[in-house]
Amino acid sequence: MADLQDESEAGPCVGAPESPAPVVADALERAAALLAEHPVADGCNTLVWTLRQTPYHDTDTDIPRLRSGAVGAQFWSLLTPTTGDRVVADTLELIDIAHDLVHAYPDELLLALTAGDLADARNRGRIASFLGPVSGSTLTDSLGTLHAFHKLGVRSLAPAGATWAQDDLTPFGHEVVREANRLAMGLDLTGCPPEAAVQIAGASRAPVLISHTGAAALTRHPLNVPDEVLLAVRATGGVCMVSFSAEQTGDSLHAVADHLDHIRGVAGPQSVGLGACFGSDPPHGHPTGLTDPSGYPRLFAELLDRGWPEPDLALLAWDNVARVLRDVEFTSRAAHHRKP
Amino acid sequence: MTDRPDRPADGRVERLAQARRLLAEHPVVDGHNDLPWALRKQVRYDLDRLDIGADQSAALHTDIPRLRAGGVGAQFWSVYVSADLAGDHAVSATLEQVDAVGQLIDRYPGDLVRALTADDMEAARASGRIASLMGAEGGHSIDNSLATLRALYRLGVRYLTLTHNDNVDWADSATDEPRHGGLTDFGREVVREMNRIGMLVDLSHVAATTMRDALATSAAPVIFSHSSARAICDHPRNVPDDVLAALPANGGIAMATFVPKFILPAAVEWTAAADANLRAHGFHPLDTTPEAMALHRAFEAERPRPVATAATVADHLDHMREVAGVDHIGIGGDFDGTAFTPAGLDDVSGYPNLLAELLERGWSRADLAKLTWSNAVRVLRDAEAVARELSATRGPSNAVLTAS
Repeated sequence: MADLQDESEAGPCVGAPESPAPVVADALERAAALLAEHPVADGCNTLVWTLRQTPYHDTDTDIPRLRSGAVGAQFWSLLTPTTGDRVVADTLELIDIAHDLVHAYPDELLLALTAGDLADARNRGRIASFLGPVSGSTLTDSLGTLHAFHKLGVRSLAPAGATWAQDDLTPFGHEVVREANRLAMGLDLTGCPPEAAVQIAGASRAPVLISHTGAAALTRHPLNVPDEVLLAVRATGGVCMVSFSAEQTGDSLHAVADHLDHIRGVAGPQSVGLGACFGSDPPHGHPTGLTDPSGYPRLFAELLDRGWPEPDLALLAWDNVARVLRDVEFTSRAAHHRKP
Repeated sequence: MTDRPDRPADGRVERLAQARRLLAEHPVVDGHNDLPWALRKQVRYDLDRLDIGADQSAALHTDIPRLRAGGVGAQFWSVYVSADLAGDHAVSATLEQVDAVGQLIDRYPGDLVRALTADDMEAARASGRIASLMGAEGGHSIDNSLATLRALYRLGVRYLTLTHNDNVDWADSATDEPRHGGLTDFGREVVREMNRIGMLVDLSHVAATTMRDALATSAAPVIFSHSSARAICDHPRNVPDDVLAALPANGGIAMATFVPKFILPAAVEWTAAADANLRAHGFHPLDTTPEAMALHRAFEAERPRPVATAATVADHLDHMREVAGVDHIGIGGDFDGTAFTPAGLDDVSGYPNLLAELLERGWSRADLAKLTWSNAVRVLRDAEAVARELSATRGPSNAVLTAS
């Protein structure tokens, strides 16, 4: 294992030209030790959608690989590419599948509804499983659907594509943001137009998140965010989670690390996280070296090599997400005297 | 029977008092009440504007004081949505209705309590509160998706009426042109999945062919949440005798409804004319907005409306009891879901009048306790037992409706 690593890592490792191979192996060991202490809370996995599509899979996500990648918490995405008048029903189906998935592996996965559950899952050696995001286009003119999703265990909402968050946040959109804050439903700004994203971040009293994105300053892609959005997320105390996608970040582990560097630089170490977007059938389109969840230790080794201090890596892996969840709940408790 | 010829009113007063005493012990489980839809239509769920904690007899058939006066102990609140809605619009609207019932329960904690099981119903009765259950009315609410069915169950809905007034893609309605001849294969799968999760199969509104198919498929007792006897009033919304006679073997119940246009033959004809009048003025026949009601009243002035009474409902119950047996009947008024109500059963405070009428006809206290309370609780309990058994051996169904 270490030998193979030496070969592939030593070549392009520009950060430390004098480093001999053993140091890289050492970085990998340090990364593993760090991840044992601070597991990864990953913001995006699309397995639920994949499971719905076909009964036969060759997906990149399974429990052994999540375990070997030190994933300790996972947001299971419930976004559907459908549009028109089947979005709500499709979303309910995805929720149903996600519940089945969690119940099928009681020794491995734990349904997580609160920040307390996140800690609980970690203490019990389970992977905390959050449901979300659901698509904001499920909400057309009322909040009843949002209440129903919340009751069914969903904990984040992605406004992208909704009629009320196109270029401007409409009055109804403001109402959705208020109600999401009240319910402790996270707001996931992935894919929102920059103007809308900044407005939502401004309207939200709770931290917001971007569950799978990259820096538009480095790679132009519809899901990547410009620096002004990074700053807006930073202002809410939220977190921007970097996706492992050849299209969004470039086709190598180093490219992903470049995006993490940029976002850490702009949004700050308190507001950077990971949302790999594993969980699809091939072709996966993930960068080489990060083709499945077991790749996290290699990424952390690279970041150690780039001089990220260990406390920042702990923030990146786990602590930022845990903080955002706690703060979202705190805001909700403070707002709960309000009626639905 | 205790009437003396010189003071006929005495017996009636005594029987009414007896009915109230009986209801205090064995309150009514009503199978269908459309208050949520009325709140949506009238005030868009603004519960401050229509506070059912106080008297609302000007606007609604239902409020808490009258539920109390009527001896209601459990209510299946209908989370009906119009069949004009399809796809996501129907599902969203259903979720909004479910949400509204939740808001009602949270708002009146001293009077309403959420009930999801038969045990919850008994606990509500013991604590003197009205057990609040939910029923969805029409397969359009699940948009051909079994996962949506399961989601509704998780949100607390405990029955699904297979159709409303229009056919769905997998079942024929009583009031639409026959298309499938009952249930399709997918329709049978819906029933099987309902059995597995413990969602009651409601056969009000469905075609007789669908009733028979569902009875042949269902492993759990079925209900008719608001339907009466077709032998007494030949309207397709009512239950034919062969289906009533199948209820003992199935264990289910038919809950007699009060809707005059279904139970009084003379009213059937009158309603057809009144509906035509509404349509001519551009209203939906089920519209109960003030404008539509004004039109109705004008029509009524010209052509007096035949009036049903508690005795009309009792005629149905007598017959249903004869054919299905006293263990297989119940009450489902359809208050706030119908423009007109029988005299004496004008709103939810009217149930004692119906019981007084049945006492008059010689129904025993034990029979009435079954009619009002215990039959309905038994059906939910039996459906729970079937679900426990089936879900232990069978996983969730992921069947989909293939385009035919």
